Amino acid sequence: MLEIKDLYKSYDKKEALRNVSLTVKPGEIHGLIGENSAGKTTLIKCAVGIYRADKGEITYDDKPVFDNPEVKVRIGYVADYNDYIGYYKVKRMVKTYCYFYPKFSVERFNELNQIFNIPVDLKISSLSKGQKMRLAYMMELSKEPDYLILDEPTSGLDPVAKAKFFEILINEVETRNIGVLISSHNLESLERICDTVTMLKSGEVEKQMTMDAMKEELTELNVVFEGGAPKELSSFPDVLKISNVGSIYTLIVKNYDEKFMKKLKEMGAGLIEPVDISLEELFIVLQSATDKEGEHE
Amino acid sequence: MINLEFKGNKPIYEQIIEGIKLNVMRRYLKPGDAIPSVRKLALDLKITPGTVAKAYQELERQGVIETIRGKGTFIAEKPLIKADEERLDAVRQKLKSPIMELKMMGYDKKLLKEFVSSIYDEL
Repeated sequence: MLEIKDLYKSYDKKEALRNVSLTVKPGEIHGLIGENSAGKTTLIKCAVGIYRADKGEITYDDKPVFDNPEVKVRIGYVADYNDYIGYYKVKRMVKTYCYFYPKFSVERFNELNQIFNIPVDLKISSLSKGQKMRLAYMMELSKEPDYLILDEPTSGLDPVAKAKFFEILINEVETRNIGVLISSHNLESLERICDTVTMLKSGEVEKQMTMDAMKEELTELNVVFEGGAPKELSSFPDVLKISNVGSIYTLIVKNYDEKFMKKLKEMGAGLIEPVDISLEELFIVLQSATDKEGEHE
Repeated sequence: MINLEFKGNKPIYEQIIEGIKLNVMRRYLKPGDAIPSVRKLALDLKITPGTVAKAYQELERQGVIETIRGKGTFIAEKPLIKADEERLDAVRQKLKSPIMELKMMGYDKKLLKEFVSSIYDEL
């Protein structure tokens, strides 16, 4: 199990992470979401042992990662920007990896390259952004890692490559029982693969729960008010967002329950229909709601 | 394999349970057929793995599917679906189009109930 406990990290005087804890069990996919500069990449760089934490612990199966090659060989890490040795050809890079990583499987690399088609005779500097991302993914998977740490790994990938990326990922989790920590702005995809999710905001954990619980945080409702919605509706603290097309109103509501439904009916609501809310919508509404709370302080 | 309705009051995991059972009743899925893993189905249906897992647990409990460790998930050798359930489903399907017709014509449930009770009483 990957365990991050009470992690703090600052650059110069700026605090980037504050009291962050999370765990990733084998066979689990843990999503990391948050706005730009929320601390996702810093957290990931601490998690793979590139940065030294100011305070706190990061362990894989109870062994610390920092300065510990024995643990690091068990981790696959795809960075947000993957630079290899530019003047190397792809095949030479593969050989170099074989030298550094005893478990590196050339067979697995070739198998993956059947899917991703990177010409191995090309120099790495001549690869496109998307090709470099695919290369990094293949290299890291070929290490046959026990943990996979992915920082915005689908940026630059075309839709076909992205679909393949996720299929390979879930296959890896199901067959080899690896633990995955993945950060992404591609919330539509994260929603479909993650078991748990951590939302970072300004370097702190804002929310951390199972993906299903996260989806239940808010409810989206289609409500028909034939004579228009009553004015007081928008002042309800549990109504976070309200919009309408004609007399069909879309509400995003916190703590939706029978009581609230009854109240809507008393206010003249006709049809009330819950709609599945997407993680993306939820994220946007939650972020702007907490921003608003901040303003009031 | 399953069409989900993202609007309405029926939870998605229940829709998955019904969807799989329906496919079994109609023999589109036969005993021993492999069905997608939890994660694969979640990816395909664009829903969370937790929701699929919940549906599969219930289907397994009901004896419709079985999971063999390291091999995958399959339709059970003798899927336990009550015979009644099968016939009820067929009748329900038949009722769908006349009800829809009435709805399109602008009639509400009240008229439908009247029809049902008068037809029932005639029998």
